[in-house]
Amino acid sequence: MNDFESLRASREAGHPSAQALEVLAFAPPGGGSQAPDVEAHVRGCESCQARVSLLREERARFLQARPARAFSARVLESARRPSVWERYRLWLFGTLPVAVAAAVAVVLLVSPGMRSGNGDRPQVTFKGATPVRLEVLVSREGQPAAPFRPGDVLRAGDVLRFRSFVPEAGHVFIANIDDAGQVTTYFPASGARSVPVEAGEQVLPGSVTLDDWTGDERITLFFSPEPLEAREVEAALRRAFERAGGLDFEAPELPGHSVSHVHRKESR
Amino acid sequence: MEAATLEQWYALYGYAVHRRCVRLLQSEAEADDALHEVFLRAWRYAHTLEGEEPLPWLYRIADRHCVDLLRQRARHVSTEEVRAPAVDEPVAPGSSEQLHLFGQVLAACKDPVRDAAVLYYLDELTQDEVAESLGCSRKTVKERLARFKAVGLQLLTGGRRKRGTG
Repeated sequence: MNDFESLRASREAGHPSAQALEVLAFAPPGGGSQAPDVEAHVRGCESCQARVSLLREERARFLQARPARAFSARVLESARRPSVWERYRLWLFGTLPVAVAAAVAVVLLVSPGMRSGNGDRPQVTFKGATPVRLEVLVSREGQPAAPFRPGDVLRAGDVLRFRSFVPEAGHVFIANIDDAGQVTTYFPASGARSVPVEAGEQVLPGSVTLDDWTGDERITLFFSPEPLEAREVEAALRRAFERAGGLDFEAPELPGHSVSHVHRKESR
Repeated sequence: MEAATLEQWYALYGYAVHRRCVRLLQSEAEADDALHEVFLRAWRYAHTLEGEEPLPWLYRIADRHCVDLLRQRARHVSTEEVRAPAVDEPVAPGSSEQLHLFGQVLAACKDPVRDAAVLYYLDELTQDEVAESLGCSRKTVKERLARFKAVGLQLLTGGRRKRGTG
């Protein structure tokens, strides 16, 4: 049994706690010490001095990659937006009636299972009436992940995460195929078959960092009652790609439902 | 809190909070989002901080937020999937596998057990210091840590636990 004791090995060896060292390492310059005993220990302990120095160096590197001004501007921007409760109230009394009316109109006008795309990109397709959804979240240069917006262009180094919505418990697999027909598994990060998920919306664990391949790519989420094997997903995607002569193919022939997202990738 | 204070806090403590989130979530990308959320909450609730060191306070916000995320993750993904680290991303120092399991156990425990385990294992406080920090007896801390280990053992041998059963 892993009892986690090794996490606190340094403390057991007689050094100050990690918290005390971190408070000391990250204290404002010139600020009076609130723990003179910790400071005294560090002055006489090479190991703790090295630990404090390393933390400070890592902080400097972190701030170079994620500058304070840009970060605080983003936080302040978020703070200006309505809170969750305010948004809920606005949604309940403002947007909801309009959305319900619009949804009713769409249901009356559009037959279920009809593809939403007309060649415009990016497109999201729904197979059958099951509302399986895939949202791609993009994080660039260490910024918080934001939903992919139509017209966005992705670049090497962008980090993708995936938010799925499935109507019932089942299994999810996500794969990408590029315009050369190369298939890559995006979810699960490891393992050769789809992963059980419960009903509802969820941000799937893990992320994908894009390589420097440029061109169009199509990410497809497969939702099925029984798990799909990675090799059968790959084969189905290749067949669909070859049959259509490109990425504009019909949903691959696999049990369950699928939904796709197409984007363009450019070099930095 | 002034905007300049927010920026100063980030410059001082942003890395520490991010490191903490990476250790708990085992994902740089999720830690980036968590860092934003922690500082947003800090901005909103800074007036509640009374003479306390900001870093432990920020850690508490980060711990609660990250454990909430881990609980959401545990609800939606099978035990088999979450047992292995989800991504091959650089993480803060520490055994990645061990921290991954640590996060899963935290997610399966009740909040008092979570708080004791975080202070004891991540912050490396002694049981007496944990007791002082939480305002309870050392015996209670000992019991909570024993409970934490028991949940970990059960998670390893008996599969997934529901939230709040630890």
